[in-house]
Amino acid sequence: MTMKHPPPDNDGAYTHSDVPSDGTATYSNMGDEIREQQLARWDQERRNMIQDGDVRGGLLIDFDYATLLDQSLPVVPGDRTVSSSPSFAYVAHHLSGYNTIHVIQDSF
Amino acid sequence: MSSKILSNFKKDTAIHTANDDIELLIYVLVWTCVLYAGPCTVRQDKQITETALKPWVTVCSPNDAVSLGVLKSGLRYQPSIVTDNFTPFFRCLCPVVEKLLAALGSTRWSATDPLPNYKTIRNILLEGFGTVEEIPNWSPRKDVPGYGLLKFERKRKLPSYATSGYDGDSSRSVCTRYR
Repeated sequence: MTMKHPPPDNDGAYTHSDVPSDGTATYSNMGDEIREQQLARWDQERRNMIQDGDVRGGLLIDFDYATLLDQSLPVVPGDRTVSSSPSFAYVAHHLSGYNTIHVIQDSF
Repeated sequence: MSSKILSNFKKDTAIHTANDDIELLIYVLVWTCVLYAGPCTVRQDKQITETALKPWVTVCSPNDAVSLGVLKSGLRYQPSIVTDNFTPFFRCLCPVVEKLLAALGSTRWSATDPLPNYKTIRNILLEGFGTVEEIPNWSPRKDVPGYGLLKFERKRKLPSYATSGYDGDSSRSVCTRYR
C-alpha cells in the first residue's frame, strides 16, 4: 500500500483534500470512512435525544451578534464578529420561530 | 477573548472573526469544567482566583491582556494547566478538551477560513458525545468539597435546642432559624 499523504494530527481527522486524487491511500481512506460513519451515527443519536427531549440542543455562540447587531456594519475591530461562517449567517437571516431554532439545533 | 485578540490587544488591530468565536466556545467549556461542581452548581470549595482561571479574570492592563493571550496560546500545548483543575464531575471531559485545545494549534487550523475549523471542532465534540462515559452512580457525595457538603456537616453539629422542631436533615432550616 502506498501512503502519499501525511499522518493526521492528534485530532485524528483527515479532510478530503488530504486524499490523493489517484486514491492510493487505501488504508487511510478506510479509516476515514469508518470515522465518518461513527460521527454520522453519533450525530443521529444526538438528534434523536434532542427530539425525544432527553437533552437540549442550542446555539451557544454568536447568538447576540446574529440577532442584535447590525450585520451591515463595516468591519469593526474589537468585540464584533465579522465574516461569520454560513451557519451563523443562517441564524441572522432566518431567526424566526420554532422551525428555525429546530434547524439551528440540528446544525449543532 | 481569543488568544489572537488578546495578543494584539495593545496594537488594537485585531479583527474579531468567526474563528475567534470557535476558539471562545472551547474556553466556555473550560470555564464550566473548572468552576462548576456539577449541573447548575458552582463549586463551593474554591473561588475562581484560586484556580488556574485566575489570570482570565484579573486583567487590569493591556500588558495583562497580552500575557493572558500568551497563556491561552500555551494551553494548546499544555492543556493540563486547566484540565488539572476540572472538578470530578467534569474530569471525564479532559480528553475532549485536550483535543479541542490541540486542534487550535494544529497545522490544519486555518487562520482565514472558519469552516474547516468549525467542522474540526464539531467532530471532536461529536466524538466526545459518542465516547465519553459519565461517572457511574454519580452523586454530590462523590465531590464533598466541590458541593460544600463539609460546611453542611458542620452546621448539623449545632446544639439540639437550636435544631429542635426542624427537619434534622435540612441544614437550610437551621440557617433560616438563625437569621
